[in-house]
Amino acid sequence: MISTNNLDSIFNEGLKGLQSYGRGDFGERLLKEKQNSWGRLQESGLPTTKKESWKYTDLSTLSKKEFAPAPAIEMDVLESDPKILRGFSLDAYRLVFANGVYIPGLSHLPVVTGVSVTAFSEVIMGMNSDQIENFKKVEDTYYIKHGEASMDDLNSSLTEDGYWIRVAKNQKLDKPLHVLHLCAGESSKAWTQSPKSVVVLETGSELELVESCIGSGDHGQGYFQNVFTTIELGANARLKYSKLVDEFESGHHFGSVKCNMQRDSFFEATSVSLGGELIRNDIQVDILGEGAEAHVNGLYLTKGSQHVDNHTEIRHAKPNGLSRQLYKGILDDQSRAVFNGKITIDQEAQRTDSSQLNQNLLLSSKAEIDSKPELEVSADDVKANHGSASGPLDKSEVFYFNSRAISEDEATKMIARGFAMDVLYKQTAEDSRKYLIQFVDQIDWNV
Amino acid sequence: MSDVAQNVKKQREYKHGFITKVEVDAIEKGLNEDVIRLISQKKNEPEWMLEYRLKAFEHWQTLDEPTWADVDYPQIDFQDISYYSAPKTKEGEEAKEGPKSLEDLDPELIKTFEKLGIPIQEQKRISGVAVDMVFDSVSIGTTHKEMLDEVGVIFCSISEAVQEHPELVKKYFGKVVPYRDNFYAALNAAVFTDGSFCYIPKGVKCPMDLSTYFRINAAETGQFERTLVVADEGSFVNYLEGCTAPMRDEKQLHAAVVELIALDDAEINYSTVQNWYPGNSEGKGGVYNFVTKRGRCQGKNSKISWTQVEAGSAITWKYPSCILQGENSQGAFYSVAMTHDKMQADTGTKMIHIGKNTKSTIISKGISADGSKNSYRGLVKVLPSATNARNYTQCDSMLVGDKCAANTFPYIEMKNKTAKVEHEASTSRISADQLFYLQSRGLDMEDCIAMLVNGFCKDVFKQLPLEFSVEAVKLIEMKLENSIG
Repeated sequence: MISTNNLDSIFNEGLKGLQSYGRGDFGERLLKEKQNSWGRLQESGLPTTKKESWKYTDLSTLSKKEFAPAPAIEMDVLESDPKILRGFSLDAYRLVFANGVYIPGLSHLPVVTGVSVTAFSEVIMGMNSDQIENFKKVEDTYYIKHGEASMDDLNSSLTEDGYWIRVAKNQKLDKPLHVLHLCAGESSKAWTQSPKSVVVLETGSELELVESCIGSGDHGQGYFQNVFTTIELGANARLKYSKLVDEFESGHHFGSVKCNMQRDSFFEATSVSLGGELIRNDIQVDILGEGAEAHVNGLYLTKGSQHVDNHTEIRHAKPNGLSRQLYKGILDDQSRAVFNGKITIDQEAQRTDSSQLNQNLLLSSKAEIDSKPELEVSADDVKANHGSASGPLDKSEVFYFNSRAISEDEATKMIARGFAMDVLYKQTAEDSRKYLIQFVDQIDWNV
Repeated sequence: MSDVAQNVKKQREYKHGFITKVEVDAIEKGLNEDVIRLISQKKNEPEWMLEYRLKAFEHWQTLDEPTWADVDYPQIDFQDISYYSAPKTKEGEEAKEGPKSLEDLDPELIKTFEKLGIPIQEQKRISGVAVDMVFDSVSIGTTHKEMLDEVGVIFCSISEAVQEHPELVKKYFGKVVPYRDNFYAALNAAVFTDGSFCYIPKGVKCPMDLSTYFRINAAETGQFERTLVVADEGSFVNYLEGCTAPMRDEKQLHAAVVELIALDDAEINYSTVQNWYPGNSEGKGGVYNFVTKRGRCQGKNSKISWTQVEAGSAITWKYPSCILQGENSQGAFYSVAMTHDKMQADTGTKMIHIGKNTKSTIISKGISADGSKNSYRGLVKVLPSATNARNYTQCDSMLVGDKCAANTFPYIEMKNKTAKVEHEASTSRISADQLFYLQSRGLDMEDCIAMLVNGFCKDVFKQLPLEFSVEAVKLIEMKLENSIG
């Protein structure tokens, strides 16, 4: 097991903070949850590579780091860093966290009846009684466990902020909602932030949500973000969700998204992993109502010594569901990527239509891809298939470009971009897509 | 269904479930160093073999039983198994070095193999297959020896090979599957009792197919056989393997190791029809089939192909693999795995690409019926040295009934950018539309199903040698009877 003793002081400090203002029923519950999670984590530790789901991803360096509280936010970095500024380019309602703290000054919350968007710290501090009342409606969702148990415990015990969104029956926003988790600041020690959030879409409501995790600056030993988001989609609700991970070079990112889907709901998730030394994304979709439709897509572009691990798990528990997955990766230098996708079809989920495809383009002979598409089918009247294909650039494609006087470098860039865009064009929310493309286009393939 | 009807159904399904009454020489249940020494002594083995066994046993004791396969079964008590059981010879003497000739065999035994349809008498040369027969723990005879001798092919039991060809055995034994490989390989290395050995010399195309037939007969024994096939430069061999066991209510353990080695330009085709007793419809009895099979394409342009029809065993845990070491070497895996009633199968392959321009093909067809579970688990690994490696994998599952499960767990690990690896999998069932279409053309239900299943498995069946192919088709059809409707 991998010990988390080096996070002891961080946990205790967080607990003290909560004790100083956490009150009311949910304050008690939260406190207990934190302590229980920490207790379990002390026993289990973080998963090692002996565990099947972490076979290809090694966390042992985390326990060797020395952790300290997050450094102060440098506002001038937030306002001048090109990467972070790009994060603000999406025309949307905005909720901004930097170094784990909610920044009201940079946020722009919607004021629309039936739509509540709140930073969790505001609820804890009990600033607004309406918010507390509203939170009670999503409170149980907040405590749903998902992803790797010990990573969830790590998140639950260290979380200080996050957000919750509730869209009431048949309501929708006129613009996308953008949540930014920024990391900016200098510190000689490692630091961590663990936002934990909830999205609840009630019957017939709609939302376009973008979550960006962007890091900048020099962080010495690096930081790690551990982001957990739990989503509940009511009957006929529609959510188009994008997640961008573009951390600082030495940053570690862990993310877990869980989406529970009720009857005829629609979920479209696009994950884009760009920067960060180690990125791990878990996404788990449970189709709990008939006729629900899930599209889960991902793109990862890795360079240097990056390691990106994507795990998807789609469970069809009810009949007539549909799920589609497309995960594509371009790997350069000595980077490594992992894809582990799983489709589970329960006995009850007859007439499910499910497919999954993983494709990888290897640009360097030192890059490594580990792909593991899984199928577990217990119903007979279903369509289920998966595929995985990995290989180098097609020489005949490059030749085609060459014969039209386009250099090999240029051709490679165009082919790679086209390969990547396939995933982004699955995202039907246009604004989100354009925003993501901006980030992808910053990648320079030094072929 | 009444008990009688149930039994009738079972009898039809597993026609190899009879027990042969022969006097046996078995040792007490239990596993310890003395047992291993005793086995080694009974086989009159040289010191180096005993040492190897003891080393393996020592290592085995440090291991835990693996639990990662997607199968459920009660824990096996390794002390509750007899590790040696051999039929006595006609004179009633102990079969110390195995029977000298087929005439020495108990007529009951000969009848057994005749019942099973195995051509034990050489007069039946028409079948054109040389057979080594393994009954419980010992090889009881090998046919067509003279004819094979003429071209220099060595085909005998592994015990005989240890005595007669120690230099070959020493050179190749345990090199592809070392005893350190896994729990059951270590157990097998410690207690293996017999199996087949085959050596094809340089440039020889084996004049006939070689075959080993395994039969578990005695109760409460385990069968731990060891097969070693070596194809020297430029040689070629077709190797067939078949197996059955009686119907018994107790579980029986079968943990075999098969090693194949192909040198430059050599080719080995290894085909198996596995039909161990699968237990009754409530999952009582049956054979636990935990097998390690691996081939090494050691030389340039060598080829190894595994073709298997897995139709029996309560639990199957089997991954015939290829290590593609030589340049331009090729590995193939063709499999039909059929499960019904309470059977569980976790089977697949590993293709390890080491050499340049290596190629592998995996075609796996799984059929699950009734309340059974059928999993494909495979690994395709391309190492940095395997420039231009190529893999194509296709695994399809067919579900018959709504209480069974079909799972696919492929692992793809790629460390070379010039390699191309493709994997495809799908799951479907025999649809009502297909059945209706065929029935409307005057075929009866059973023929329709046979036809559809045949089509589904065609890519694999066509890889089998003729006799096996016919047997495999019949076997699958028979097992599927009563499952649909």
